[in-house]
Amino acid sequence: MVVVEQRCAECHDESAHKGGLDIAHALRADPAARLSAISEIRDRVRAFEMPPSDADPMTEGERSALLLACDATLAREVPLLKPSPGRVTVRRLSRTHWDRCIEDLFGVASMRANAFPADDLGYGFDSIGDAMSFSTLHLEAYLAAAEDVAAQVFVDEDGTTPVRTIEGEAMDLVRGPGFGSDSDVAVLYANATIGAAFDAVREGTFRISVHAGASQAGDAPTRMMVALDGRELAQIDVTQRAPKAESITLPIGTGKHRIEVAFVNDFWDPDNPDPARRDRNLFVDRVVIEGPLEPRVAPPQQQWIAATKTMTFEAGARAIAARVFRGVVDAEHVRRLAKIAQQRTEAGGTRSEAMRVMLAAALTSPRFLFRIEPPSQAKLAEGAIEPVPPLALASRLSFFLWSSCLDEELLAAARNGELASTRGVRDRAMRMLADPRADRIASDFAGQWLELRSLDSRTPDPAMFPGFDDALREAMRRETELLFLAVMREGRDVRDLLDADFTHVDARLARFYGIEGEFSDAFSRVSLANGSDARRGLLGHASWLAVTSNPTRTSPVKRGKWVMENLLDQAPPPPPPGNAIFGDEQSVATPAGLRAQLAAHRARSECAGCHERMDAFGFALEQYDAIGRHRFGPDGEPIDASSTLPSGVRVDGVVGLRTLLRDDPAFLRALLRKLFVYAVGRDASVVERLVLDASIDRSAMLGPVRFADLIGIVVESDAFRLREAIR
Amino acid sequence: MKSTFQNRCLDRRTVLRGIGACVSLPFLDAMERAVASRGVAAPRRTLFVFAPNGKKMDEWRPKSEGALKQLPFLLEPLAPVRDHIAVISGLALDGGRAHGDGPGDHARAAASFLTCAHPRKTGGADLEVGVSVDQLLASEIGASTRFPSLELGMERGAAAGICDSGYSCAYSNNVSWRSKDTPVAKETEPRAVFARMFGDPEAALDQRARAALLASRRSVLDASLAEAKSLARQLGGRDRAKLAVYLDSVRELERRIEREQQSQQDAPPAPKNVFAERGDFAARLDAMYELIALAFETDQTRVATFMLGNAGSNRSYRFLSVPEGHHDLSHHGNDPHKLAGIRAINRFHVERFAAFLQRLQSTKSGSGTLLDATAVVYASGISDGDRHNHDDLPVLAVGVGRGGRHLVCDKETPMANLFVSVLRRAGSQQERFGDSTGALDLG
Repeated sequence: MVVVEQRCAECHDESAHKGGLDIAHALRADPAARLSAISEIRDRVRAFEMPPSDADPMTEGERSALLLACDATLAREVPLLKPSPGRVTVRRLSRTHWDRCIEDLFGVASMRANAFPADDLGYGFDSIGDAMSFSTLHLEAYLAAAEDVAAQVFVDEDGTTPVRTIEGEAMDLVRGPGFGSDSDVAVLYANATIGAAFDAVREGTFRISVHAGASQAGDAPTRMMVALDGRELAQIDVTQRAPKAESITLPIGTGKHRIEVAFVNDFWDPDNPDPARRDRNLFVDRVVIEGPLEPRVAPPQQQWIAATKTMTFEAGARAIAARVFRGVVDAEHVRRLAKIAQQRTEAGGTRSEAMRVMLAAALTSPRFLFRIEPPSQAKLAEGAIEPVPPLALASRLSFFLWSSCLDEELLAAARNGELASTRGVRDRAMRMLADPRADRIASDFAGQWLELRSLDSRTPDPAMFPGFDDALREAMRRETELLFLAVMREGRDVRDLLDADFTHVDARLARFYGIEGEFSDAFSRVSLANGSDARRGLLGHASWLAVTSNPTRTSPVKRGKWVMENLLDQAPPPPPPGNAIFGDEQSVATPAGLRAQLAAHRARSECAGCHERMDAFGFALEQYDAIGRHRFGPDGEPIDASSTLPSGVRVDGVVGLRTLLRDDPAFLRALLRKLFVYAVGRDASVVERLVLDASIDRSAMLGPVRFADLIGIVVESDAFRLREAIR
Repeated sequence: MKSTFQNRCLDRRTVLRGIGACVSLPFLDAMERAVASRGVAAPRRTLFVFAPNGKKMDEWRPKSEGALKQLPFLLEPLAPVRDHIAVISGLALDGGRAHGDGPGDHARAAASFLTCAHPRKTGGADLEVGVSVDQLLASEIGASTRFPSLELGMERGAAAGICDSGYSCAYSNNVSWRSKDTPVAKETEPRAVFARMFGDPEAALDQRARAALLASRRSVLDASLAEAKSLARQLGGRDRAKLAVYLDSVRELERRIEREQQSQQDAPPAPKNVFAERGDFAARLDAMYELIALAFETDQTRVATFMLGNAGSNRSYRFLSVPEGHHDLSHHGNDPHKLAGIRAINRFHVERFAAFLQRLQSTKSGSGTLLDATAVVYASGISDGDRHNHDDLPVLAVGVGRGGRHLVCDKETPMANLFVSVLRRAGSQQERFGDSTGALDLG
């Protein structure tokens, strides 16, 4: 490290201590701190950020000698570091995990999961045990959702069609002055709407029959309107006095619905000589809802349920526990569940009800809701390193790669010792990656890494961006997920994420992008090899360009920050002490004006540190507007999308930025670190970061880096397979 | 050197105690008893409202100290309840400042808002700030109602990303902290809030079905409790702490269900705004205020917090003809267009708050109105959104002391001092909170 001491110590010595770095001190520090200083020095010199422009420039020879020396030291010494695997705090299932587990275990979905409190994110992910809170509100939501799932799994259907009858007089007034009742019939004497809620246990065809009669007056017949969930189903003329059924048959989805019946043409003619023709009223006797008319077909995931029908409660409890508790079944808990079922039947409940309570209890248990990694049986000293027990390791794999609970095959693999070796873990991970369930990595990992999940909450100004709706949001998100999947599934180099010469569009997105050709509602791949460069790779995707914009305009600062944080894992440095002020861009109408404002902003020394790089990245993307459309100046001229990094390197538009990022080893390191944090459930330590960087750097030297390679590095890491013992 | 006597806003009791004269205490308590004996004492309710992104201070702060004569533009909607309002200037949240931690003022503004503590900067591991004043109060008086406290907000958490400059979203999205490392999740669906308190307005369970549901829930929770206890014995350290929170939740929910099994309270009709569409922000805001009023009126809880937005909220207020994002606008740089947007948003928030206070005023409670029985602190953890400063905060106090005036405290008077006064009024015995140096004298 002589080169470093010679060249850098002038400013970075004990007295000047520039940038908080004292080289001599850093190089004598413990190995982790020393190597992390060397890594930082290498990166800054490599990016031409050091030495600064006001210092003596380095000759090319000095520069390469320094970089070589740093690389050699890191390559030699980092592998000797032994990062502690640490101990991961018990993790609550995220909303996504809960959803996926329920889907995989039972083949059903609960709308109630929508009501779960938002998951607390740590380091941008919902899989961080320390960050995830629990409160009574969570418990209530989990309990209600568990009951909902149980009702969909243990159903009382005996082959006959379920029928629900709602008496007219029991319906509530939705609109209008009121209604009377006469021998159990609702009398609508003026224009009014009455309604009632009902549950559809599953989707299917339903027959809704309104039993209604009417009195007549005036020329028109009495008219009734029937609506479901606020949508009109039919207008029906009711001409007879005695109630008669009017039926409507239609498909209805699972969940809560609301039926409404309205009287819409009130008429009163007090002077009519015939007293029976003076008042037009509607009488609603009852509403009968039959359905689903199709017999129930249990999803394949529920095949085991049929067998529980003839089991003892104890055996039923064991069957439930085996699935819901991810392989950990203890006798005490089985007894407890069986007892609940017993109590339920003693209180007059049916067998299905008893099974339902058991399942609800299992799904509310901490053994389901938390990912508990049981203590080892061996008596180890506090802090000693031990392997993660096989079942817990299997769960780590399934939540990482499938966002879900483990299945029977994985359970068997854990039980027969397959996960005992590093090799075994890797092989299993590769097989799991080949499973369709691994597609979820695109929405669950990439969706969080690239902040695609935030698209839902972005609300561009409709006056400026008419037509930006949920369908477009969905299409944008899907495009990015599909690029990710293409890279993952086709064994491409992960840097193709930055410059793939293809993308995926449906008709909507093709229209939005102005891509010509025939497209449908389904996504298809389009080659960009010969066309415009605008949509190549992630940087040209409208999804994240929209996520990082303000409602009325682009934000080069936010885009630059997104690039730094997510693609390079370089958080903007904090402002110098005493300068907590950090402004945002000012209000300006044009990109050129914005550019001028930001230039002024950077001229303030306290802002420059953060903003020089961020802004430079953001400006390179100024040819995309706030929802990611390619844009031009007022006279159709191209928008200035060039910028200069603090190092003096020029970035010219999206093409320049793409090349810059693709060649920057920080991109691969960032992706690996993010994947590590997502998988392990905590931040990487300084030492772990060095080790991860070294392994990805090595991998990159050997050729293309595939997503599977990154998965391999993560699952083989000590942090994934080992842990510190606690007593 | 300044003596405590010169510190305006310091409560007389604190001053007296400061010089060793505790004699005043019994006298004051006797006074309080006398007040109470004039009629049936209504239970005291307390609400904390968090407004994101600061305020347009030049149109918020009254021109003169003392009696509230002319209300500044942003406070004009409060005219009908002026006598109940104390506008307090000069309070500071020191915990919101950087103290060497760099950017992240929005996250810190929310995290320190009710804790009056400085959050540890972390993206996830080792969250730490402090117990919030509402949770402290709930731990003392919460057992007497079905819900020890309610936590409500208008925005769910972020779906992705780091919320603010290296701070975990837990800091930006919560103001209630049950312990120094555990935030309390908030409910953001008006309809779900109603259902939680009074039952699902659309489920229409009959007596038998309701009884069966409650009984089944009891047995589910019993099993969960037993399960968590046996697990906790096997786990150590942080794992056990996580499980302890689960255990507490199970116990709280069991207590609530037990109470429900005994009572036959009729549910009030669901307010119509409860069913407002997701996009109708104004209606949903009114619905939340109405639900807080209902919760207080029916004594479901006596402590609530309400976040009008998460810290740094960038919501656009299109219905006010303000399409830009709130946070974006708050960095106004004195641009007239942006200032106009901020002004409209600030004014709207105060209008809805004023309507809520009038709703409380029109409801009887004990021998007075619900407003008389309620203390509200409405404030922002940032003063000017463009400067991100955490001193001279915009603060309204309702029912904490004498209203109808503008109180100007010495610079750097901790917000915690106001909370000490709030705690005392609500019957707490706490003498200190967070970084408090005493209690505010609110007369």
